[in-house]
Amino acid sequence: MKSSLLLLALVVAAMSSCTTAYKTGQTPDDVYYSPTRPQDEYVRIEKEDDRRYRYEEDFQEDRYLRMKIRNRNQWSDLNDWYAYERFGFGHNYYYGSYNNPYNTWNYYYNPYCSHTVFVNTSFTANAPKPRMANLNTYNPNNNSTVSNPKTQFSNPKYSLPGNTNNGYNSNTYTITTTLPPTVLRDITLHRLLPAVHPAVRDLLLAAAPRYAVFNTITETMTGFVNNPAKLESLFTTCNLLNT
Amino acid sequence: MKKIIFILTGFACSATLLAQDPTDALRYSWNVSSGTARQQAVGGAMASLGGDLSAAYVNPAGLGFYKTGDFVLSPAFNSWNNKATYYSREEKDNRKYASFGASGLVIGSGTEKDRKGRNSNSAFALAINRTANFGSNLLYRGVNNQSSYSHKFLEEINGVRDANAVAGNYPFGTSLAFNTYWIDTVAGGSSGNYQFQTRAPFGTGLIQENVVESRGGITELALAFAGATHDKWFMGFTLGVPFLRYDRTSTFTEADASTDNNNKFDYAVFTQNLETKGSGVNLKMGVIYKPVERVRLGLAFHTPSFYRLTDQYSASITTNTENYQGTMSQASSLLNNNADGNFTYWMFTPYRLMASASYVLREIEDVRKQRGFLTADIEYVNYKASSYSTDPEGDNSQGTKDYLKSLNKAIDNAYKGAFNFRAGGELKFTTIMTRLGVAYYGNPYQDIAGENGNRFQLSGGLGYRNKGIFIDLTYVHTMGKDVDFAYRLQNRPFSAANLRQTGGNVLLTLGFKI
Repeated sequence: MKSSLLLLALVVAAMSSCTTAYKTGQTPDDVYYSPTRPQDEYVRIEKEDDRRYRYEEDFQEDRYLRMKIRNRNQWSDLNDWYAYERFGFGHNYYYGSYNNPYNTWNYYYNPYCSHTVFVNTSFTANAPKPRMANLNTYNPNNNSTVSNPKTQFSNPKYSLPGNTNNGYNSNTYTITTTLPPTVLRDITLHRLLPAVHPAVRDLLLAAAPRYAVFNTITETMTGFVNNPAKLESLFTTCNLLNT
Repeated sequence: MKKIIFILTGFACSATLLAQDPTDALRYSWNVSSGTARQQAVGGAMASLGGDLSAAYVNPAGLGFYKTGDFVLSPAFNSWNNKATYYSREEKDNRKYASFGASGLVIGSGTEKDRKGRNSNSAFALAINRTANFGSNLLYRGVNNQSSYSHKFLEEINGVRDANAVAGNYPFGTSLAFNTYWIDTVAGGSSGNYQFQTRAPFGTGLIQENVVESRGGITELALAFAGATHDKWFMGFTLGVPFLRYDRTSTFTEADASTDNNNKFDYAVFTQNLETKGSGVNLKMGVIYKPVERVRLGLAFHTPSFYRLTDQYSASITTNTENYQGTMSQASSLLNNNADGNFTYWMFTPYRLMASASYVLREIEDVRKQRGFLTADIEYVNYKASSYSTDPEGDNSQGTKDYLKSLNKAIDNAYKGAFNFRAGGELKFTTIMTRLGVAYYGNPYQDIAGENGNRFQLSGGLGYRNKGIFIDLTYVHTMGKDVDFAYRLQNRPFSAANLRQTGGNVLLTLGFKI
């Protein structure tokens, strides 16, 4: 926060110095009328850049010479290109197009550049899906709404706090947050099948499609999936195979 | 082969309840005008007035009035209050946060002769603006004896006759409800495993509570160009790059309102987290014509914003079924390979059309003789034109395409076109200015289940301009109404929470002539 304020103060100070032209006289209001900006009262001299190249070829030749002077051997791969391929003759595999020598600069200068193609091997295990809703509820013919269904209860377990126009008592509305037991109800056959021991798979298929209620078991299924004997014991405990 | 089909079927029907629904589309398009303090003080009208940086976000032709330059900063402070009525009970909540309005740089060129010998000038602007704020805290409670949130889960698995599929294929809602016994098989346990019921005793009443915390907004970077000929015709366009971020945590709770301690339901808590982020692009273009001195007429068109967005979402449910199964809790990550859900998609917001007129008293250089202006905009937004499509690099399955097609149809059903009005004026006393404005944003909803909404704004402000610096201070008071549905049902009654909203926005613009 302090750094933001400091930055803001610096910007304000810098911009204040830019408004010198308007510190005296009137400050224009562009909504009504925008006058032409005041001109500087000194002679402006155009800078002349005598290092510019008149033609692209001159620049390329000059650059080639400087490269060779720096390291005569390093740039030998580019000899052919600078000799004739840049004019459209021949084809050098280093270049995507003959008139673009910049394509290979990464090859020499960039330490991260190599001929190896790296593929992003990360993947998302879960299939990306949109968040779905029952869109029939937006059908104009869907008329399921109600309004003002007042209800009253004499000694509720929970009630709404404070004011209430509905006559509820003023007990505090609280919900306990006890640590819940582990839920194993989600362990479904189809999620286990691809990875399990064949004997366990047969056992699971024998149990299907009966629904397994595992929540009375304190261990997770992880220890059972490749242990047919233990799983059979578990199922027997649950009466799964007898129902 | 059967096993493979079974697995594929499981993925195909892994519908979720953290729903991508029409309300998402409206959130990103039903926004009030935002800009500099001066523009906000006159109701947000800027489609014909010009000469202000915020023209880049309304009618970029207005930048063509600039022959000088401005650099402006617009910090803001917002307060947003929600008063919600749900089953006849009122609750309030509010949120306060810092924000900003249009800030940036505009540089105009001096008058030059064009090829035909006409006087012409041009201007360029680079600006950033918070075009939408999603910051809000919402709370509502009420007693419902007609339906339970869990009916939404039951509707989702209508026709599914496999308890194992219910237990695993709906990891962001229904499976969590089933695994924690908010919904159960008809006979309980492993019996009757192809029919399902809710454990929530809605007939004797459920105390329902929804707490929704929203954060984020849309910040738009604008690159604008404008030109003028003979100070009579002004034309301009803006390339806008909006960056969108929306974070929402909602906690829906329903608890047994009866005296029965043995009815196998005490309470259930459903927590959902959603983060949407991405960026987009849009074009704004417009023209302003001055038929006679003092009068300005403007037309502007905003193309739909094209967004590439990614949703990341998760959910958890805790249910207490008393002496039946006790308290149980489960999170979506347990059923989704320890990962949040995610989905990347394209979204298009509606196009906008604006027409405007302004009357400016004394358009002359001597600021002592400038007296004031009146300006008014009318805007048409076709909210039903919002649409979604799949991202070519994302999930392009037929099921997803079909869902988004249905979603676009639902948007057609849920919304309509609406007119927005903005008007305001300024009185100028050489260096001091006073301003008043008003704005009305029309109802974007079709009435399907009691939906209704609008926004009305009153604004006022002061300005000071001297010695190359200008300072504008504005207060905007917003009053609105809206609806929020904790859940929608196809076959059972459900109700909206009706929202009365008020907002206060204090905006300061500090500007420098350059």
